[in-house]
Amino acid sequence: MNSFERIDILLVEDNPYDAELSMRALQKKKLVNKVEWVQDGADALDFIFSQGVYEHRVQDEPLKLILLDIKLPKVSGIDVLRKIKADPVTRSIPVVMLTSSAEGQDLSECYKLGVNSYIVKPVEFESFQEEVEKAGFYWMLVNRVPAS
Amino acid sequence: MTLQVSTKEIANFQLLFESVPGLFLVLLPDFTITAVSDAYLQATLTRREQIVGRHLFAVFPDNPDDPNADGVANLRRSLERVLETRMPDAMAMQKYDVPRPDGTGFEERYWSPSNFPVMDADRNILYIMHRAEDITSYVLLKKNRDELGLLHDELKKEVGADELELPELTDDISAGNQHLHALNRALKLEILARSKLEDANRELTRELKNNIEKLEASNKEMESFSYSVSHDLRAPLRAVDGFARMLEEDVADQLDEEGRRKLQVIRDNTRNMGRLIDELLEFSRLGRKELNYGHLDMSALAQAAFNDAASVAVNDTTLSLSELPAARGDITLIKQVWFNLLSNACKFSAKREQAHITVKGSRDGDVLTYTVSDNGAGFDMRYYNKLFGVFQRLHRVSEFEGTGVGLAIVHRIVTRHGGKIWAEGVVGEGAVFHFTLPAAT
Repeated sequence: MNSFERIDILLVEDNPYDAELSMRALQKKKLVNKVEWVQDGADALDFIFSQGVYEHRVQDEPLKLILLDIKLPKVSGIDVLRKIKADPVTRSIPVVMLTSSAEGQDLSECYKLGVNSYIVKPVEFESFQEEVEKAGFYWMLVNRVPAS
Repeated sequence: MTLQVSTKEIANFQLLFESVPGLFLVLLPDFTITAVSDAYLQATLTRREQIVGRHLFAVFPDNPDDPNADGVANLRRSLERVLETRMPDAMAMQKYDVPRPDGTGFEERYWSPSNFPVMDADRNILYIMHRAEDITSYVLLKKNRDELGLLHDELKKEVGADELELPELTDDISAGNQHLHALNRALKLEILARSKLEDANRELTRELKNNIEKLEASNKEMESFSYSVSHDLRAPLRAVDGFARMLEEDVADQLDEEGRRKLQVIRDNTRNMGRLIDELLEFSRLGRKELNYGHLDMSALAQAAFNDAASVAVNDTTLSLSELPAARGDITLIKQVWFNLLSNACKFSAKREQAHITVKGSRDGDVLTYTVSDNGAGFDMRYYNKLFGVFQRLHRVSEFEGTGVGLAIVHRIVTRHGGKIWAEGVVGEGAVFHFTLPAAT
C-alpha cells in the first residue's frame, strides 16, 4: 500500500472474485484508487486501528466507508463491526455489510451493533454492481470532505 | 439328652408384648395392672411406671365432669363376666374419657374393648387380657356427620326439597369399621394405580423431551444447512455471472454473434440457478416460520396480488372478483398464496388474446373456500399428482418459464394454516384452483 495516498474506502472481502466485482463497480464511479482491499477480519482491524502491519499508516483523515463481508476468516465481520462501533474514534465511519444471504440472525445482530446499511449480494452482476455503486456513491457523498 | 438353648436365642417376650401394635392391658384377677403395651400407654396418655402394679379403676376412673359416664361400671361388669364364664367378652362401644397427665381434666375418648381370660392347664384364670381399639376419631366424625345430617334435615324442611341427599350413615360401629376398611383398601388400590400412572407419565414426558430435543437439533441443522446453501452456493454463481459479464463488456467486439449467444446462455442459466436457490430457501423457511395470525381482508389481498401479477402481463388480462369472506391467517404467507396462484393464472393465460381470471369465495359452516380459475393453458389431469411437488413442472420451459416451486409453496402455506388445496385442469381450456381455510371462531 502507499501510505501517502489517502484511502477512503476499506473493502473487507475474502472471496477474491467478489472483491474483483466490487472493485470493478467502484472503479466505474472513479473511486477505485481510493480503495484498500483486505481479506480477513484481523487485517481489517489492523488497518482500521493502524496496528500490526498497518502500524505506520498515516491516519490524518478518517475512512469514509467500510464495505464489510459478514463471513470472514479469523475475525468475523460482526466482530469487526462490534469493535468499530465500540471505539469513539471509529464509531462514526459508515459501515455497509456485504452478505450472501438474508438468512439467520446476522442482520438483526448487525443492526443492534449500529450498522449503517447492508447489501445482500445478488447473483446477477448488474444488480450487484448497482448495489455496490449505490452504497459507495451514497456514503462517499454523505461524507464529502469539505472543499479545500 | 438335654436341650441347650442359648439365652440369646430365647425371644424377649416382654419386649415383644410391649411392642405389639395393638392396645393391650394385662390384669391380675383382682384387676391390678401387671403389663401394658406401648400402644396402650400412648393412647391413654399414661406411662408404664405410673400404672403397672396399680388397680385398674384407680388409674382410669370415670370422668367426674360427665354425669353420664358409665365406663367404669361397664368395664367392671365385663371383667366379672370373664372371671365367671372363663369366656372372652366383647363390650359395646364405650365412652371412657382418659385423665390428662397434667391434671387439667379429661380427654374425650371412645373405645371398642374386649376382654379375654388367660388360663393355666387347670383352667384357673391367671390373667385377664384387655384389648381396646381407639375409635374416637371415627365417632367424632360420625357425630359431625350426624350434626350435618340434622342441619341437612332442617335445610330440607326450610327449602321443602327432597332432592338434597346425604349418604346413608351406618349406625353400627362394626359396619362402619368395615366400611372404613373397604375405603382403606380402595384408597390403597388407588394410590397404587396412581403411582403406576405417574411412572407411565414420567416415561412419556421423558420420551417427549427427547423427541423435542431431537427435533430442535434437526431444526438447527436445517437452519445452518439453509444458511450454507444460500451463502456458499450463491458466491460461485455470482462469480460465473460477473465474469461472464466482464468478458462481455471487455471483449464483446472480439466476439461474433455465436460467441455472444453462448455468453448469454451462461448468464441465463446462472440467473436461473440463483432463482432456484432463492425459491428453495424460501420453501424451506416456510416450514420453520411461525405463523402470525391476524385478520385477513381476502378481497383486498386478492386484488392487490392480481395487480402485481398482471402488471407484467403482455396481453389483456381481466379479473372478476366477487366479495370474498374474510379469514384469519398469516398475512405475509396468505399474500404469497394469492400472488402465486394469480401470477400462475396470468402466466398460463398469457397466450390468450383475452385472458380472463375469476376469483370467488364462499363459507360453508366453519370452512372458507376460495377459487381461482383461468381460461389459460390448463394442465393434464393425468399428472395431477405432480402438480404440488417441489421442482415439478407440467409444462416445458420453452412454453412457460418457472422453477416449479410456486405451487409447492402454496400447498405448504395452506396446509400449515389447516386448509386444503386441490385443482382441476383441462389442457387448452384452463385451470381451477381451490383452497380452504378454517373460519375464525
